[in-house]
This record gives sequence, structure tokens and C-alpha cells, in this order.
Amino acid sequence: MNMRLFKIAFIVIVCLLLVLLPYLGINVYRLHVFTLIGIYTLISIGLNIIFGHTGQIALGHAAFFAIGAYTSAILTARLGFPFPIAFICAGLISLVFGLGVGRAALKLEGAYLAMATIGFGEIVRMVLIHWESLSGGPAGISKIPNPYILGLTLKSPQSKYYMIMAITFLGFVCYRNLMKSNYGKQFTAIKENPLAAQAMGVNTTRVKVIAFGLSTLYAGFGGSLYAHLNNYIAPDAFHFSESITFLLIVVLGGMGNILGPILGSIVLIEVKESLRMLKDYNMLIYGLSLMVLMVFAPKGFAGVRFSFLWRWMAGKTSTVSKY
Amino acid sequence: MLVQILQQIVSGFAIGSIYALVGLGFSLTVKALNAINFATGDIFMLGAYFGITFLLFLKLPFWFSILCTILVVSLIGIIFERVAYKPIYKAKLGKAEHHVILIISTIGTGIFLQNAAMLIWGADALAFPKIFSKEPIKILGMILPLEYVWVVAIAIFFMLMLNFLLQKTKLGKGLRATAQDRETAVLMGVNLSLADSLTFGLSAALGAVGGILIGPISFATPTMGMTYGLKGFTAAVIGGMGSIRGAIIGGIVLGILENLVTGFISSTYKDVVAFTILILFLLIKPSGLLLRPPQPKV
Repeated sequence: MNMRLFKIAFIVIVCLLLVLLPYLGINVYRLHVFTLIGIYTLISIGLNIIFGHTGQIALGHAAFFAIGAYTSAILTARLGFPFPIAFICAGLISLVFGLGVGRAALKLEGAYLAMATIGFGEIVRMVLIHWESLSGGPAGISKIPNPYILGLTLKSPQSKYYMIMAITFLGFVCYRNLMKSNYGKQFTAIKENPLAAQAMGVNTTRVKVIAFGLSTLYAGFGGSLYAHLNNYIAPDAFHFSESITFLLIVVLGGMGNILGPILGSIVLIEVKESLRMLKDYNMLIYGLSLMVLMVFAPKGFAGVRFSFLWRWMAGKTSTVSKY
Repeated sequence: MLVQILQQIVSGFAIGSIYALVGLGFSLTVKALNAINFATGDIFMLGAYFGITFLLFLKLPFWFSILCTILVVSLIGIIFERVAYKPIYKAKLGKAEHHVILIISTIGTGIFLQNAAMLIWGADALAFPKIFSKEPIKILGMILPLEYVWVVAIAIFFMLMLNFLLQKTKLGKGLRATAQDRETAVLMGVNLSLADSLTFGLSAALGAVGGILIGPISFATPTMGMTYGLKGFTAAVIGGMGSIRGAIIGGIVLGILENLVTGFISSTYKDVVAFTILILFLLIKPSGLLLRPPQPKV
């Protein structure tokens, strides 16, 4: 019981901190970074469903992020729809694309699935660059209106922060409950052993497509929030490297760890923002740290075990091994 | 019209043989180690930049430049394998984890190489010096740049060399044995660690040849690796991942298709063609044109 009380107290303190954050004397830039962390958490939660829990490597989520963002931007800025409708449409249209892509691509496994999803991501980005009448071309769409909910226009960074945190929190609760449900167990079964899962009566294709669809739903919602946070979007923001960022968040937080997306987003976005100080060396160090992290902490921060160092110190133990 | 089509096909051959080289780089590592090296495209980019360095800045003769480029780039490939690949390959992880960690690590290496190249050679596009005479030759009404003929010839030469190395030498036998069955190969006295390094070295060497041959066709930019990498991968998938002949045929098919689309339909969607073909092949015939589909294992 004590453990449970402790857990509840911890959650209450974290929530209080999150609510009070804008009043703790941080500047607008810090608040923007925290808001971004919220959006990345939401999308990584989605990616954790298909990748962390179900074990399917999807590397095209920048595309669904983009589809959500452009849907929302076009509906509000061009067609004058209110934000809530645009937000829901962003998720749904992303979901429709996700179900289509998922149905076709999830026959593939491992690195081939990764490549197919990368290909889809690049196609979407190129269409966005070249189909100027729809997407505004390389210049993108600007003057996206601020969210307008319940008679309030959310103009200040603080109000946007609260809105995005609230939606992310809601997304997290839904996700946590989903993972505790039967579906969550089916996802894990497919990751651990698809054949055994099938033998137990899991319709693996259907469950994989559902997981993929859910993850694209989250990515679409995230895209919509991103568009209204910045009031401006351009194809550059949905480059392949974003898909890697999402994947990395999930890996760093620990694949299939329910709190993983939150932890991973905080660490990765903070690190990426602080690496900006290095200017020209920014991406060089970023690439190098990806490599080093994967070598030394392949299970993410949740399970840091310097396996390579251990083996190196222990010396060679067996000559005929799987490798 | 017919002449135009023929002309597009011939220049498609030239770019296609470069895709084939990159595709071979993918194929080698996939077949031997069942891992896709996402830095293959960036190794290709290094080939282009080292080629420019040796040709333009050090003013070495062409043949010597090719040799130096191959040497330097394959050395980088081997170092990369030792640093970023081997420790992960050995680590005990689940299947999905294994794949994704290799993917992220090789992507990280790619980002690193890209930015290192940007710091060393600058972010702007660099042009190759003139290697072959620009004088075009005329056959059947077509105007063929002589350079393209050289590109195809040199590419074919190196592919034949690779084939010879893998099929006829003891070293190649060892590499092939490792690709087929690691446990048995090690019992037969193959040094697995060395074989892995050599596979990566060979893959990098092919990328380097492709990189230096891109000279007559395109500029070198630090970010070129991504596009050429994906196209090389597409080439390997079209022909059948792991097959040498497959990668060659796939590269040439892709080069020709891409050129036909660029020449007759629209050049804006040139890259979309490659990705669409990649996805279609992965979905409809993942084993490629030349290989038989694998039997599902139980």
C-alpha cells in the first residue's frame, strides 16, 4: 500500500509541476521547447504502439505527422473550418492513410518494412514540395490561425502549452489503458513471437494494421497541434530525420515501456536543443552520439547496461557464438 | 522519337550502372550479415568527394585516383564496421530490437559522415574536373557523350572484378561460405571477424567506385547519399536482394525507367518514380526479379 501511495504522490507532484511550469519564471523559448516535448511525446506514444509494443519498424511517421499538419492547416487557413473539427479531421485523414499503408506494407518485416515506410515518407514529402496548389510548395502554408476552443482564442504560448499538455495527457491515458487491455497483450504477443501468437488465435495481420493505424492517428493529431503551435508549416519540417527522431525517442525511452515516450522525448528534445549551441558541429555530434548510444545503451535509458564494455572487460568467453 | 527513346535508354544505362554499384554494396552486406547498412549512400558520397580530392586538389591521374579512392573509402568502411556495427551485432537483443538498433546506428554513422564531409569540403556542390573527353560520338543519329560509355565500361569492369573475387579466389570462397552458414564456416577455419570486416570493406569499395563515376553525370553534395542510397537499395530490391546479377539488372532497369520518365513525362517527379518502384516491388515481388521467393520458416 505504501508503494501505491508513493506512486500517487509522485504523479500528483509531476502534474502540479507541469501545471505550474509557465509560472516558474522560464522564458518563452523554454516554454516553446516544453510544448514541443508535449507534441513529440504524443507522436512517440503512437510510434511506441506499433514499434515498441508490436515490434514493427515504421520509419515513415514524419509523413503522417505531415499529413496531419497539412490537413489541419488547409482546413483552418484556407477553408475556414474551426480548430476542433480540423484537429479531428487531421487525425482521421492520417488514420485513413495509415490503414491503407499499413494494410499493404505490414506484410513486410524488419528492415524491408523500414525501407517501404521510408519510401512512403519521401513520396509524401515530394508531393508536398511539388503540388503547389495544395500545399503551397516549398514555402509551405503560413498564417495558420490560432486554436479557437469554447469561445477562447489560444494566442499566448502559455495557453497553447496548456492545450497541448492536456491533449497529450489524454492521449497518454488512452494509450495506457489500451496497453492494459486485451489488445495490448496481443501487440506484445506479436512482437515476442508472431507464430505463437497466431497459434493462440491472434489475427496477426489485423492486429498489426490496427496498431499501425492507431500510431498514425496519434501522429496526425500531433501534426495538427504542431501546425497551430507555430502558425506556419513547410515541407522541411517533415524530413526523414523527423521519423528517426520519433524512432530514437522510443528506443531511448525503452521499447514497449509505457513511460518511455515521455522520458525519451524530454531527453532527446532537450539534447537536440542544447546541441544547437555547437552550430556547425551540431549534426556531426548528433550523428556520432546516435552511434555511440546504440553501441553502449541499446536498450535505452530504461535498461542501460554497458553490455559491450562488460564483454570487452571479461574477454572472449566463447569462440563459436551466434555472431 | 525512336532516336530520343534510344538516347534516354543509353543515358539510363550510365546512371543505372552507378545505381547497380551502390545496390551491390547493399546486397553484399545484406547477404552476408542480414543487415541493411543505411550508411551505404553516404559511403558513396565519400567516394565522390575523395575522387574530387585526388583528381582536382592533388591532380593525380585518373586510374591512380580511382585506386586511392577505393583504398581510403574501404578503409573507412572497415573502421565503421569495427566501431558501429560489430559491437551491436554481438549484443544479445531481441530480433526487432536488433534490427532497429543497427538501423539507428548506421543512420547515425550516415549523419556523421554527411556532416564531416560538409565541414571538410563545404556545403556547396562541387564539380568534378573533366576526366574524359567531352566530345560526343554519333551512332544511328543518337548523340552519345563518350563519358557515359566510359562510366558503363568502368562500372562493368569493377563488377566483373567483384565476381571474380567472390567466385574464383579462396578469399571469395570464405566470404561466400560465411554468408551461407556462419557456424559451419567457422568450423572450416574461416575467420568470421575478418570476413565481416572484408564484406564491409568490399561494400564500401563498390560505393567508392560509384561515387567517383558520378563525376560526368552530377555534382557532389554532402547530402547526395540519401537519394543515391535509396536508389541503390531499390536497384538491389528489383533484382533480388543478395544477388549480384540482380543488383546489376535492377540498377540498369531503374536507371532506364527513371530516364524515360524524366525525358517524356516530368522531371519533377523523378525521385518519386524510384520510391514507387521500390514500394511496388517490396509489396508484390519482394524476392526481386531473379530470386525465388523464400519458403516461410516454421
